[in-house]
Amino acid sequence: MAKTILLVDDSVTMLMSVKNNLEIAGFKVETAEDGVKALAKLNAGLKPNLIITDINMPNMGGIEFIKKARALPGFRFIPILTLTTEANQGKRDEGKAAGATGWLVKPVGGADLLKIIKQVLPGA
Amino acid sequence: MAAKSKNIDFKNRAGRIFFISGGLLLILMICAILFGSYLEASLGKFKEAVFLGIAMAIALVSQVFLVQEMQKPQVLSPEERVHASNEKLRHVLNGITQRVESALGVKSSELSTETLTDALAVTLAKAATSLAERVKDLIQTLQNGNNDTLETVKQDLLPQIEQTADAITQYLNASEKIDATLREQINETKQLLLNLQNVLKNLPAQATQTQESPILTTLIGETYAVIDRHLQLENAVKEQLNVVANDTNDSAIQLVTLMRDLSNEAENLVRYITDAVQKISSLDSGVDDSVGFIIRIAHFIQDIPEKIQADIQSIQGVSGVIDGLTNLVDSIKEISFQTDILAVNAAIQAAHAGEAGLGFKIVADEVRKLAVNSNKAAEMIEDGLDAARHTIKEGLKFKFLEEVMAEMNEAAAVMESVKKLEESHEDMRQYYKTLFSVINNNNRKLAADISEILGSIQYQDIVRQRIERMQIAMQRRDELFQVFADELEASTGNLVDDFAAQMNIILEDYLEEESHHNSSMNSDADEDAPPKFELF
Repeated sequence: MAKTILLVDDSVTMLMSVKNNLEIAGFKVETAEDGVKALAKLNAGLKPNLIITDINMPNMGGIEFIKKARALPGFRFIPILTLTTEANQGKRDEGKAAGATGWLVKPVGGADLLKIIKQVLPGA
Repeated sequence: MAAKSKNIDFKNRAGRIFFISGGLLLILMICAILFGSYLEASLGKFKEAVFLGIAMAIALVSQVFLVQEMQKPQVLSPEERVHASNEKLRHVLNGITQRVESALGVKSSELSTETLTDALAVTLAKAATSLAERVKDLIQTLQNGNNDTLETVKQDLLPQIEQTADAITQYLNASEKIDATLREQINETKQLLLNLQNVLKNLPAQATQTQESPILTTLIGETYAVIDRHLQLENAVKEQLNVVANDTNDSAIQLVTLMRDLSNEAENLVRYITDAVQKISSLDSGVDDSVGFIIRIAHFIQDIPEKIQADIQSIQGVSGVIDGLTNLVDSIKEISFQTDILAVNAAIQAAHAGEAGLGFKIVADEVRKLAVNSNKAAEMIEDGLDAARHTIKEGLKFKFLEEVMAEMNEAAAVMESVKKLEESHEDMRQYYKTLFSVINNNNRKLAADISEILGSIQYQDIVRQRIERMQIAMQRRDELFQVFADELEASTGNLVDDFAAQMNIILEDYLEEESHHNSSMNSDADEDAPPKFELF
């Protein structure tokens, strides 16, 4: 069965580009425009195999979203990757402390993204 | 005297005291010259002492006033206040000028918008070229396949590619627009600042030379107008930046949609080919069945001559048996002949015996009849055997073997052609297999290219965020300019805020924020930068 990835980003372009790449690679992709909407999806019963989130978003940013998602039952070990323009170490440390699995700096090409996903989702 | 230690300024009180005391001393000296002889007559030798005493008194009084004046708290005249605020204004404006200039300098060099858009253009162009090549290869492969049904797929694919190219062009145009807008803005702002600098250069000289404040007011008014115009320009530029961000957004979305369509088309193509390959395999098994059947028939035909040969041999055996039977018929004939002679002899002997031999004569006659009948039967058997032999001989006369051999050769030829059919079928199968693998390979490359192009579109988001950060910095700067302009217009002469420091904060915030983000597509070259990908 196709693995599900939840993609969180406020940019429609990003959502479309990454979603298409993942779908072509055979993943099922759910999207959300900010942390609030993503959390709502998780609370409504969505159980993705992987979450990829932006950091700077309106309403609720990526760091806060990761913290809240990690607090939900059953989300302690689900890999969460960030995909952001934030490149500095301070933000990375914040992300790590919040519970992110890895930090990706935009842009990430299709092939590179799939390689990274394979590392965090064995058998994908 | 204390008053002499600073420039004589007749407008302040100390100056006036100095002026009055000096005047009194002068009058005293003139009096001494004009009325010297008269005073000498009346005062005698006390004349010098009286004059000196009066001069001392004037000096002492003026000194007392001056000391009082010096001890008074210094209250600035309106002119002095204007001068002071003028100085401060000059300082602030210089600070702003430097800060803004350095900000502009940083923007144009460090943001490297030009580099960004160039690199983006190169990436997209490369991806598009490679995509076009892949598609060309694919079409070439399909054309070699001489399959007309693929024409429709090709017709679908070509407009897709053209549209994609258009979208890429639009995207590049939008990026160029960003570049042009930013450069235009930087140039305009520089020009404004140059004007401002010229105004400010003249300001100190005019301020010290002029006692009148209207000129200063004009200068302030002009400065205000410059800043105001700058703000208007800023708004215009901001609107343009919004337009540009929207344009690139729209183009990127269109590009993604087209790429997705292209990918779907390629997927359809592969599905079509896969179907074709499946149909070919089912055709394969059909052909295999037919070939098996034909081979079985061929084997059957091949066996027929042997069977015929066996039949001939058994018929030849029958012929031998018939020959044997003919010999037997001869023996029967011989026996019946001898029996006949025996019967004749018996009849002669019966006749000799007279009446006693009458019965014997009848027997002899019957024996003779039997002999004749036996002979007749033997002849009939011989005729029958002859007819049978004749029939067999006639049957064997039909070049049967030659015909059978010809048929056998024909059967072998059929086998040969069946084998050839099988071989050509295998060739066809191999050809389709190769065709499928080539198309599959092309499609994989196509998918990889599409995936890379989709990845490149992420730069739209990076550009958008960069513009947003610029807009935030400009907004803050504009607000500061507005306060500054308002304070200038109010012409209070006192600037409440330290604008240079605030401008510096805006600049440093902006640069700090910018340093947190990946600055351009070429940032991989920066060895000190944190890795683009890190697993915790």
